[in-house]
Amino acid sequence: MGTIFYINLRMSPRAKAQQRFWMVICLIFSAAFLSFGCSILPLTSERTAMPAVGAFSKAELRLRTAAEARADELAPMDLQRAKEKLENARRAMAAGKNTEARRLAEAAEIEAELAEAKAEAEITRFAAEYIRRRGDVLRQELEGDARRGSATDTPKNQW
Amino acid sequence: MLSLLAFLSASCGAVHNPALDRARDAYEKLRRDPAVAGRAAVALEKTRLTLEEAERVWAEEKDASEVEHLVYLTEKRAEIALATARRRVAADEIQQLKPQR
Repeated sequence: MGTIFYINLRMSPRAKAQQRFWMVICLIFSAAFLSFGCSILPLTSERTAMPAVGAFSKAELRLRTAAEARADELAPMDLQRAKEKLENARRAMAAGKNTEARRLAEAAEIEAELAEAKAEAEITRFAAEYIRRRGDVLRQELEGDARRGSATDTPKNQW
Repeated sequence: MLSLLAFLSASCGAVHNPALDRARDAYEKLRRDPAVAGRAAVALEKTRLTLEEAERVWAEEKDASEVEHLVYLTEKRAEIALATARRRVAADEIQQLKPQR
């Protein structure tokens, strides 16, 4: 390597030109290698380089919205799993296991989102059932009234 | 030599991942269900995007543990889509019952 970059003043112009040529080639290859390395780095670590902090705040927020949607009563198992995963994520973060912490925080977020979706589905199903039952009761009352009305009306009509 | 290299690179590119198959099956099952496709389109789209991310990570990085994690997220997204569809079914029922009151 040293012989490539060492330009001896006593060298012939042809040898000097040859040395300059190899220096340029080396520079080009170094630049190409560096730029390739820099460009490939984000590809291999795009997800793994994601800060776990963002995943944590998202998971915490989702747990709060799930609790507001009454997931603790209507989807307790899913909410419990979400809480456990967030707790494990905190432990992994404290142990310096960033990738594991991010994955656990993302898992906690999705479990909380599922708990929220299940709770909302249950609430809407209860509401539909309530309206259906109320409708049935009203219908039965109206039918009963109509029957009673027709029973009292019949003798009058006969007269 | 070149043909050997080409064969090796091709065989490396076609490495099978059973977890990915599981996620694809879960997504396809939902996509073909008209009750879900019509009522939980956004949740279904999120499922597809997560599956695509899993496929991309497998194709470009061959990171099996990250793919396993993304497959787990895809399966959970599929469950969310199902729950959303169930909620919409109940909401539609409420809408149908309202005029009867």
